[in-house]
Amino acid sequence: MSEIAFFGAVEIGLVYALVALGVFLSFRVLDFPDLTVDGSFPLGAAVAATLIVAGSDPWLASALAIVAGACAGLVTATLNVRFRILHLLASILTMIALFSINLRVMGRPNVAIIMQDTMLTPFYGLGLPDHLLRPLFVLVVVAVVVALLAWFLTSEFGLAMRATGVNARMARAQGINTNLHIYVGMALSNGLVALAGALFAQTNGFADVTSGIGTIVVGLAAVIVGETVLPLRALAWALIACVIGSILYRLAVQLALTADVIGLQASDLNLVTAALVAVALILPQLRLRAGKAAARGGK
Amino acid sequence: MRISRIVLAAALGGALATPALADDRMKTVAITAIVEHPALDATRDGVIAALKEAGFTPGETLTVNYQSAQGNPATAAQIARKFVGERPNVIVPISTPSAQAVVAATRDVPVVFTAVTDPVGAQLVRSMEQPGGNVTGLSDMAPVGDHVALITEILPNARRIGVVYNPGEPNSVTMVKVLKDEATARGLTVVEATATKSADVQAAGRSLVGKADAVYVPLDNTVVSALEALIQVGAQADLPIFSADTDSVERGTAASMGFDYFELGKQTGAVVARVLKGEKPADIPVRVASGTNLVVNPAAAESMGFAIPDSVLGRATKVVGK
Amino acid sequence: MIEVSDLHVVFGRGTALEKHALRGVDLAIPEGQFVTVIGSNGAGKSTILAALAGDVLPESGRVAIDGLDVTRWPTPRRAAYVARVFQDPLAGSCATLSIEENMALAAARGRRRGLGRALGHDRRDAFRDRIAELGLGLENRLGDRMGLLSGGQRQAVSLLMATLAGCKILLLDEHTAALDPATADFVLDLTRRFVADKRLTALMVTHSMRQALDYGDRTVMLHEGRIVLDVAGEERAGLDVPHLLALFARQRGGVELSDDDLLIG
Repeated sequence: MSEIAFFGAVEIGLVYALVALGVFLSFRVLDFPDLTVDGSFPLGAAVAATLIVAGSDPWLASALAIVAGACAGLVTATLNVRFRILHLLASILTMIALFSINLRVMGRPNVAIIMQDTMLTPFYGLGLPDHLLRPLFVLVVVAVVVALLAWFLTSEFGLAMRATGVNARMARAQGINTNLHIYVGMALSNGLVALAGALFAQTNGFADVTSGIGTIVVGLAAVIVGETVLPLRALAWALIACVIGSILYRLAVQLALTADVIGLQASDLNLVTAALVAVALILPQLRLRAGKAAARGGK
Repeated sequence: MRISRIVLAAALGGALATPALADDRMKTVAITAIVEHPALDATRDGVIAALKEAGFTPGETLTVNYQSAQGNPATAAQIARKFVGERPNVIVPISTPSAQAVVAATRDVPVVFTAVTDPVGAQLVRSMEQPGGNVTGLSDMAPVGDHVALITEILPNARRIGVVYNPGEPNSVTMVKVLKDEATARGLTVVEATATKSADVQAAGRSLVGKADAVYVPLDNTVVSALEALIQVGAQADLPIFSADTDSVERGTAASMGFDYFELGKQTGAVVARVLKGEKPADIPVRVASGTNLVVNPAAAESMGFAIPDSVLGRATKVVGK
Repeated sequence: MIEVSDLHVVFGRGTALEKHALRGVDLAIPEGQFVTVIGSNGAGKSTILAALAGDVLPESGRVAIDGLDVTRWPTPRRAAYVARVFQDPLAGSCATLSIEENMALAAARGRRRGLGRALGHDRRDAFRDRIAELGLGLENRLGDRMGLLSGGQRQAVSLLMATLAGCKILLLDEHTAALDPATADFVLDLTRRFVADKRLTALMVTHSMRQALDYGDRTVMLHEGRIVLDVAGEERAGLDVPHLLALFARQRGGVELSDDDLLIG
């Protein structure tokens, strides 16, 4: 793996860390299996790219991408809370609708911003090579998001959101408006995923309507890998675990891409990625068992 | 914690190992496509076949690396970084997202993209004629120029070319723009008639009777879906109808030219060979793949009141009805 | 004070499983009174608690707290006035949150929750002092997950949580039924202590006639959605379980009760 490939994987891992954090909010905090993200990721990319092409400031475009994603989350939450549609189905409906909406937003399946100014443009002149600058920039964004989320989830409001996901009945008995927290949580979650889409568009030069496929799988894999390698309960660590899980997932893909040296084909990529992630998940169990065996042996 | 260290160590270990330095005669071409797809696979095979013809034999004087993103743009971005990091002599991205990912990832490794319909719109190059930078390639847009030439060859007296299209289809809008450029260059005028739904196609065709000497049907889903209505108008009013796609000729348009993707790949491979031999991508204009398949329908032409000249019939790769 | 008048609750109206759970219940509880509620299965004991808490909205009738008509209020809105401990030790707290986080949730009951820190040093210290009152040694385990505690510990903490923020009425829904006898006695003593110390108005549903008479200062018996017995003061002080059974039988017009209908504890 070359340096450029390594930092490329880190960069994309960091972009998808925002997806993982969004998925953490919906799946883990709210206990709301949300597939909306497959639509809100390209939505964020589409909104940001379209606005940037139209001459908007890239920071403003990214902010509006977050708002668009939050709205998508609110639609799913409304379908679930207000109209009592099963969460999984509600999110699938929004996801399907977003495919058409994303095409409408862009007016075509693909919008290029390779030659446009992005959030990163002012930093390109600072002397750092592109392949280091990009991950560094995304790292700063992710660090800010993790800090804000850690603060939010340990606030009284955030704690109430966590209670909503763990035990809604208890939460209501404690005076928590669980519906409100589902709305806010879903908006936040999909806002983060849309920000990931906006960053992906700006670091890779394009928004494509197909870029959402499998986002939820990648996000979930990152969350679970993170939980496995960093099984700490403290909330801040759980958030950092999402980031690490996402980067590890991308490194696994990058390793899989270099697997042709051991006779694997390009079409084996997904299989190899899955196998690497599986190994990452299984190894800690083996370690645990080995530890237990050693403990038994000691006695 | 331990695992993260293991994976990181493995990744860093890989990062430190520089790719084996190839000797000077050995060239490396890295090919990537967004997904495995018959057309895209054929393009890749065409590239390799053309390189072989140009004297670059895989395994002897050429190393070919191929990666498919399996439909995932994020993976396409990772493949782009991998290839850029390996610094091959040329990267050949097939399809728009793959090309964008590669072009965004490097400003110096030569790139020859292919199977991209609108390279300027996709921001791969600033202009078709002068791509500049490290990028050139081939567009798989229908060869509109070839089509206009074909129409004037069959109908030397045609001066006004009608076009029926749906302005709501971005692809059609782009093609009509190209059509106008090509027609103007040959001293022809273009007469537009729009149809926003299939039901309007016949009326749009009728509106061209007496105003156009021939009608051109772009790759427009709305019009192609109601093609028979247009062909009927052509037969009733002796108005020659031509199409951008060769499949429509079988349905009753007079003639068209196209290419298959293996052919596109070969034309791309020829450009790659030029870069391998030392030309700069910046100096090679981006071309629309030229049409190689000529399909004609003499019976349809006859019903529209004209005959296809023998010179064209003789070159045809397919004559409908035979 | 709590006032329930002519309360009717119907479950599954218009379905094959339609059940008229409360058929005109009138109950007035003055401030500071500790009422125990008994009755057979399906008598409507839990339903009356649910109607007070807001989990169940009545067909007709009125629920008022402190003169405020709360009949149509949803549960979270009533939480400012109503504190609860559930029968299932798992239901009253969040298993994957820490003890102190659970306490912070309860301490903010009935208050607007903002973006300020849920757990500062001051609050932790206060929680440590309060949980020490339980005498369970939990003051050193504030950071532990609630799920690590035993059922009895969880009920004790739930009870403590119910008193962290003010309330007009404490609802105890058979909160010792899932515990072993010794633990149940411990939690009941704790209940008595808290209710007395904080001068709480409380409503405790129980399966046990013994408990119903031993705790609190008024006992209400429900049968088929109606209050059939309501005793307090001198009359109640002189009652024993057999008396209660006989009284109940008389109220029901001579119908004998079987042991299956009421648990004698």
